[in-house]
Amino acid sequence: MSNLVEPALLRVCDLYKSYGDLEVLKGISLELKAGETLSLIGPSGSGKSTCLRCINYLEKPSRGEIWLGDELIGQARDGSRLRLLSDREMAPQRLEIAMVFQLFYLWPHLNVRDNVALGSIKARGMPRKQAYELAEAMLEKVHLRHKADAYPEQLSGGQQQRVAIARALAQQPKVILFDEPTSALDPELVGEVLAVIRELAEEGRTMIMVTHEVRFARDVADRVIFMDGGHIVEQGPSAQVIDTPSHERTRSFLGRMAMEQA
Amino acid sequence: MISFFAQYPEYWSDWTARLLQGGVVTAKLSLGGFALAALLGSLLTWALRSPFAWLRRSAVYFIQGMRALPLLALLLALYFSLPSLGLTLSGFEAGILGLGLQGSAYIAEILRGGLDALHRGQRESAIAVGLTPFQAFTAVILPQAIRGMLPPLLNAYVSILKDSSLCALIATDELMLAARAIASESFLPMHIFLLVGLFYFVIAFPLSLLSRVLEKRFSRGRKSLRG
Amino acid sequence: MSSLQTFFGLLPLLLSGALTALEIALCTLVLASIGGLVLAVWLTFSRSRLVQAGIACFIEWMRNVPALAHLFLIYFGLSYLGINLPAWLAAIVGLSLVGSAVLCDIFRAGLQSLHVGQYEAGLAVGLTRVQILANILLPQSLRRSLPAFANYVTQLIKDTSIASAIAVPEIMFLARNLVTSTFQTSLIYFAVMCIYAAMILPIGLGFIRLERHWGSAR
Repeated sequence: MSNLVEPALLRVCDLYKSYGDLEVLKGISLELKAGETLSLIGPSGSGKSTCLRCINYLEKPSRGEIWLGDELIGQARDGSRLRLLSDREMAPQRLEIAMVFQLFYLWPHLNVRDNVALGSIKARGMPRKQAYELAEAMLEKVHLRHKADAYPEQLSGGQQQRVAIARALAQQPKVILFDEPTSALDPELVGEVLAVIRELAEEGRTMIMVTHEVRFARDVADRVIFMDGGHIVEQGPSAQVIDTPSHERTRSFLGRMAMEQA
Repeated sequence: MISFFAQYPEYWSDWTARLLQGGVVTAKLSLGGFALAALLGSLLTWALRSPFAWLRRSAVYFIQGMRALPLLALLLALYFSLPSLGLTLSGFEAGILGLGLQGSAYIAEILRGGLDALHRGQRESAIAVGLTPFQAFTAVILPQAIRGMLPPLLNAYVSILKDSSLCALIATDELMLAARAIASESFLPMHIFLLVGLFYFVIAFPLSLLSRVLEKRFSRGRKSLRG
Repeated sequence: MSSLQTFFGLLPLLLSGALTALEIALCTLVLASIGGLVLAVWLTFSRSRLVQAGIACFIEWMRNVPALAHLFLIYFGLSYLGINLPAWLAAIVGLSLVGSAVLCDIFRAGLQSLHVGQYEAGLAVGLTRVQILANILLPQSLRRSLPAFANYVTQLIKDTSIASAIAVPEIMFLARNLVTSTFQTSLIYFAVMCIYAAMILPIGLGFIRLERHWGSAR
């Protein structure tokens, strides 16, 4: 890495994760520059979701470090040892890294506006009025401002996921993580969510997407990483990797995806 | 602490013998009460699901009435009040009657819940295949419903077992009365009541545990049926 | 009718017993609710096997041993150790301990019925565990626990009658004394049943209305 190149915003260094005897991540390292959109693709069980969830420490890595700028995420130096931070200590760090989940996980007892504003009010200590204004601005971004008073159960899957995206945006994060954001949606609802994500990418947001939508990844992501069996097999500019993969495994995976999504 | 437990060996054989005697009566009380409750409860459930409105309503009133009443009040009424109406029950008899009457309301709810939980389609498909309503009930509905009803029925028995301790207050010679007698004779209430608590625990806990194991197994079975 | 006169003559005394019963029930309810909630949250969030085993043992002991035994242990047993609690206090302590165990199970079931994803979403948004508990988990789980909680409350009012065994002057105790002094057994027990019904039915209806109100407020 030459010093003339822009420093990376997010760095994942040598990430390992095991569940008992099962090793899911076997030494993952990646970098993300500010404004970049990175897409993680790969077969089920390749570890891509686990990798994502390690970045905001919803899963605790067995080994490895996550750096946001020059801040170490989830761990602290205690003399010569590294110790795991508690959830309370990690809360301010998690504000910088937003996550959009496959199953949205909106809070059913709160209306849409409260869902989006809760984080600002409680985690940032924002006054309610200001938090609501921010929430409505974010809802406007995802084209759902008119639904601010509705409850999640009254919305379609696509609308709920867009609210979840608004909630992530309201955190004013440095990085947004998307964990298979459209996998749980009916096909006709997928488009509206992808459209919002595309807009965010064009705005220059820093994002990592785990997704099965390979064509979308090719169009919207700057770079693509193909993972298999807990390793990074291939990475590079999205058009290059997807159109002209250099590894056999990448080729066969993309081939299968093309057939399924044809 | 050790001196506390050192008191036990001296009284152990005498106490356990008397407690076991009381325990036998408790067993009879609780099993008898449960049997009566199951019988009456089944009748109540049948009445609850009958097409006759007056029958349904009577059953509902009976259940509401039983549930608004403390068991102790019922037991005292049966033991002290009935003689003036010509019927004198022993403590044991009043106990079984009281436990059975209250228990029947509880069990009726369990049975109704278990039967309602079954999809109506089960009965319809049985009838469609040509079974009579009675055959449909015995061959299709009941076997499936029982699996779900077993855990709460076990819980109901444990409940009746614990409630049988109240019969000590109407002079029934069961476990708790034996414990109280020993307590007043020996002036070691802590020791004896801990011991009697242990007696109840040893019977009730395995049943509660079994109920929970069955409940887990039952819900797991249902999930795997759906694939 | 002299029966009716006697009935109304007995009422004041029995009603004072009812008041005592309600006082005991209220104190117990507060203590048991706090205890049950603390235990439920601790149990759900603790990763220590010791804590989980300890709480489980407490709950099992409380729930598999009759309440009468607990009351005797606290009233008679503790006096052996030199701690002489007045009967009404022993009743409250005993019923609260049992109640904490029962409510812990109820609140825990409510908490665990929520999808863990809501907790994770709370973490992702930067909330601390306490904030997630207070703003997301408890509002929903308490609402779900309401029917079981209502059952507990009605059962509690009935269970205050057990305190008569340690001479607490609530309805049952007073009723028994009246019986031995006046021999009007049927009338007295009829009055007792009316009083319990009068306490329990409105509370049951109150909870039903609360459930309906909360259900529609979403």
